[in-house]
Amino acid sequence: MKENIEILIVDDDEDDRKLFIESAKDINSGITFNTATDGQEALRFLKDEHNQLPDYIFLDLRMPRVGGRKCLEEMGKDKRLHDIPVFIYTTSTDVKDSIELKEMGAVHFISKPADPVDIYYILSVVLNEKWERLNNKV
Amino acid sequence: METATADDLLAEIEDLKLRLSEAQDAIDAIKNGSVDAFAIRTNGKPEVFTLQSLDYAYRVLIEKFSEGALNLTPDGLIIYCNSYFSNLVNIPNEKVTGSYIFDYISDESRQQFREHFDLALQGCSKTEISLRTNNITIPVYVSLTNLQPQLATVGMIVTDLSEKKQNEQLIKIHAETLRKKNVELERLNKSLDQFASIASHDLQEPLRKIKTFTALLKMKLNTTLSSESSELIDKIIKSSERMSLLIKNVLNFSRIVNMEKMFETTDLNQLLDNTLKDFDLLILEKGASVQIGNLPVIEAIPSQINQLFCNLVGNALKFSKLGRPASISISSRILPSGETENEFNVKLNLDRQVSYAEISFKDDGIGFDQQFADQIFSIFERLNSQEQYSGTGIGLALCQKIVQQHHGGIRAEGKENAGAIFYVLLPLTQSANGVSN
Repeated sequence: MKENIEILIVDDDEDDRKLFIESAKDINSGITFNTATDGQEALRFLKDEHNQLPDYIFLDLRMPRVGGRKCLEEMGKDKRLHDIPVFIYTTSTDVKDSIELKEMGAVHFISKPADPVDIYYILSVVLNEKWERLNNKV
Repeated sequence: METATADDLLAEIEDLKLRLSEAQDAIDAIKNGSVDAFAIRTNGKPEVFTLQSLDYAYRVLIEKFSEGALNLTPDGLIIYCNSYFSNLVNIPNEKVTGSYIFDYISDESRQQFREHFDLALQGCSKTEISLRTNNITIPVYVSLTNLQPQLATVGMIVTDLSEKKQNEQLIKIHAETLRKKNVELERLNKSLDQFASIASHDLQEPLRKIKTFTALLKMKLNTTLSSESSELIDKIIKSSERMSLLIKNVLNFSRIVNMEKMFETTDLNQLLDNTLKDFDLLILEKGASVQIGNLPVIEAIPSQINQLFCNLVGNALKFSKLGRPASISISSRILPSGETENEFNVKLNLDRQVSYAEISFKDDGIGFDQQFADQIFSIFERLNSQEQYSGTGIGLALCQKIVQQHHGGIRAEGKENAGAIFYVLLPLTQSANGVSN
């Protein structure tokens, strides 16, 4: 596993952010996290050239102001952000969402697991792989 | 000056007498109506003169016309009207004749009619007005033509628009009803969408949290929990899981039923690939092996086929034998038109004219008793207890719905404890079903 991984979590739900970080830290304590509570905040963070770009982004879909879909779309337009692997991390289990967002370039569509153990398993699989964006046409 | 002989003068008298007698005959013929027309040669060219008895035919025609026909003097006096017009205004013909046309025009139309009548005195004019007679308003279309120089009158044709107006009114009412219904339908669709979004997200989230935090609570209390308390906590988790699954599946079912049918050329290999990617983790966890044959390209609704594959692969993984890695194989063959009907497919009502792709999902799981092969596709129907294999009994009903939307069929073969095979039959193209892409 790559050391010093940087992850940006974009989620308006504080519980989910916490659970995610706890599980991820259990897997690799070297991971550093940045958080944003909606798409707008995420884009502001990503577009600020003083900030180091994350290795992965975990993006919730339904958030106030700027949602995940819009955020992904905006990232696709920005050459700097274009290639960062984005994982959709959402309560939705809608197949249509999954297909559409992958077409928009998301690497994976992960429906938030209910069991904290599953969060651990999913993240361990995710963090052990090397990911690239599915679709670089955007 | 030329001089004429007596003989010349006598001959001329004879000639004049003859012409006079011819003219007298013509006048008699005209009088007694025995000729319709006659031609007179002037300057060597024939000129045709029609007579009154010929326009008798036109008079009959006009009388039988199913439109009003009138002849008016330049000041609007009606010197002739056909019976259609007198019936239309419901006044005896002899009373209409001799009255003024302006008496039959409604107050609202009078000014407009006046203008068009004046225009017609210069040539012709057409307009839509309304008549008013016996307290009834009749919408009409009038066409006015100046008959000068032959006659110092104006011809007027009156077309009754009552029925047309009534129809127009009906169409308007129906269009309005349709518009309202459409608005209502759009509103309903929107609220259904909203419901779908609420159900998939807002209802799911608290449920997921109940499960998450109950599980965390259980982990934290791990050693201090009595077995009875641990069991109770498990029941909370199980129930919330089940609720969550139910919501998800009912929602999927309603989505499939209400979905717009958007068929497109679809590579099933690619779809299956996507589906299997979503199962990466579960396949890994179960140590399952999946063999995939080559699948065809067909006309389909990709998101629905994705859901179909998802459910069938999910089932194969779920109903694997405990403690043994599952082995799943997915393959396909083409059934050309005319060869679709075999003893197994007979119940699926396939179209003999159509070629189908038969995709089979074979597993080595717990299988089922063949006598339940039809029952498993009914909604909320389950063959295994909730304790053994969780589920809502919607998955296969959804699969059936999807293949029905694709004008195909699905059937299952099974043996208890010896695996199951699901056969999905999908038309290669949708053209036979009147579907345009």
